[in-house]
Amino acid sequence: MQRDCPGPTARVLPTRPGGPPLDLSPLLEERGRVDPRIYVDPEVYELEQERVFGRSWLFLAHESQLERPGDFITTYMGEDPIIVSRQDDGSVAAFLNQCRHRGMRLTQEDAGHTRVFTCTYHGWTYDRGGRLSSVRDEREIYRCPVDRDRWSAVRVPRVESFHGFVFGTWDEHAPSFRDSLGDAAWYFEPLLDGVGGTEVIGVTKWTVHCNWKFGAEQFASDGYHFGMSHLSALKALMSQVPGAPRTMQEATPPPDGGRQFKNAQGHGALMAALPPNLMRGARLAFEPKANEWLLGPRQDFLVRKYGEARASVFIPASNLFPNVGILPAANALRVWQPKGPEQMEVWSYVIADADAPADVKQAIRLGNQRTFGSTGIFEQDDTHNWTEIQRVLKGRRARREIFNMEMDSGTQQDAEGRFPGTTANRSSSEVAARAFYRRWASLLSTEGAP
Amino acid sequence: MSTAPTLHVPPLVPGPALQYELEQFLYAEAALLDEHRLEAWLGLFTPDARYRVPVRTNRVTREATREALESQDASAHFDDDLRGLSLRVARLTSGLAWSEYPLGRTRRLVSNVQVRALDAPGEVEVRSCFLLYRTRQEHAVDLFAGLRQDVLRRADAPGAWRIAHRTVLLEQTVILAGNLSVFF
Repeated sequence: MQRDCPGPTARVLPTRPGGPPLDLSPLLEERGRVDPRIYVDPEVYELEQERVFGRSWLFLAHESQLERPGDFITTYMGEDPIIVSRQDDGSVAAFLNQCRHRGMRLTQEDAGHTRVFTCTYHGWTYDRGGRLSSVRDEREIYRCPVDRDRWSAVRVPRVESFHGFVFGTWDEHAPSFRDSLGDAAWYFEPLLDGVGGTEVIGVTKWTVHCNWKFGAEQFASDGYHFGMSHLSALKALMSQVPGAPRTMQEATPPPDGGRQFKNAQGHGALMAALPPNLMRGARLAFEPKANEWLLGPRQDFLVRKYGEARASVFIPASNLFPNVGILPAANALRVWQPKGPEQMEVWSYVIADADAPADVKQAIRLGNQRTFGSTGIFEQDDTHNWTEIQRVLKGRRARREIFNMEMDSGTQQDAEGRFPGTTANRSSSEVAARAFYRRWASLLSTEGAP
Repeated sequence: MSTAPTLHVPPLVPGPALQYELEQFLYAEAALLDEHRLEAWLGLFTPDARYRVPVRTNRVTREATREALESQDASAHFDDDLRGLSLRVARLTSGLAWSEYPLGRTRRLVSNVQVRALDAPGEVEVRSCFLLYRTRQEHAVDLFAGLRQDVLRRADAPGAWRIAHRTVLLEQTVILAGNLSVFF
């Protein structure tokens, strides 16, 4: 253990506010030091919009939100507004929610069904695929026809569906979505698959006044916060719920328990960081039907399709690089939507097995809402901590003192070969956080793509 | 010549005394919440209570009515029975709920109270509007406005009422506050 411990922290980062560019090399070298200006600096934010969000695979929609041709939802890729729409041939297209004439939004709804999108400014009209279909008074005003190809809405060039989850990237040369997962596919695929497929049974959105990376980093890597941040929920569960842990010790994850996965693509996952009876207890508190389904038919399906080893890994939280948090413990997929350097929105999607009975879906939805929804008994403490960090970073001195991310420098192959890729042998580790920032810094420091 | 639409004003059933009594009940309830007397507030609910705050969405006009009349199993911020509310109160009163530590300061303004008699004896439907101002720590401010549709049931004690069913329509799609650690 001592062998892996880092030496005294050398000051390697620039200290002059507004001075030289941020030195990202400590992140690249995985030394575990973070310059907190990466959470506040507008230039870093602009750069990550271009180089991280401009090149990565980003979550767009779930196919169940787009049942019929003409169904659409609106979302964001970084801060770019996007329309995701079911085409007449059944495929899914995504394009910028922006009129090519003066840049007005083409639709302001969250979701709907339409044949065309008509800009409310001057009346240019686009079809379901974003192709410019008519220009109002074209003949009388423009005299020459407006070039439909040149002035169609900007299409997201690559859109792929993975078990019904639709992702898109601006990078035409990016590896396929599955390849972009690397060995994280072993962990993520069973989470994103379901009995009869999966469907979205609810979407909730809330604002958090913090940088989006706080969410991503925590879901990828932070098993450490649980036993402190969530004491109130643990205490409430213990006092109220039959089947929940009975002592604080039982409820709090052991610091050396579980494992943590990371990879070079920046994905991370916590494994068995929480006592499994905790989340089950939380759901049991309200709706035993959810647990019966998840531990019964769903588990049977996963064992049959993916084998005992993959099906039995308990993953309380994980982050699909860059900004998709997967929270199997609450049946949630969430997107950390960046809204400027100091604000994000959490878009929380409740996921259920498509073939689950209606009352089970309802139970799953309620279980999600009460644990990690906008009002969830766990959720509120995370957002509180994150917004306070962001507020502290308004201080000139506060934002120039580097953060310590040095916990548990040792990673290893699982001796029994149960877990592919590189894992840490404890869930309280920061190896996946360092991998997340390493990938982020590597994208940030290289030019490329659109 | 078209006739002007008539404004429907629900009759005061069964009269100003009941209207006054129910308004006082809502004010007293607001005071319990503003004073953080959450366990006493919990005592206002019937054993079969349901408390819902559905998610609002932006929809085209022709779908707007559908959105307002969302089905009972639609997405919600809160959808609780009494046990669910109890768990939330247990968390908030644990002394460890960081999102309310230090406690937020709130003031609830309740108005536009409209009362309608229901078929079930001893039950009334009460609609009320609210504005909830919350400030936390140094200068965090959140404002929530909404409509509450309650079914209130007479309790045994004279003048006492219980909340059997509450639906809260919040006027936000994306929740603009960092958390919803308050009740409406």
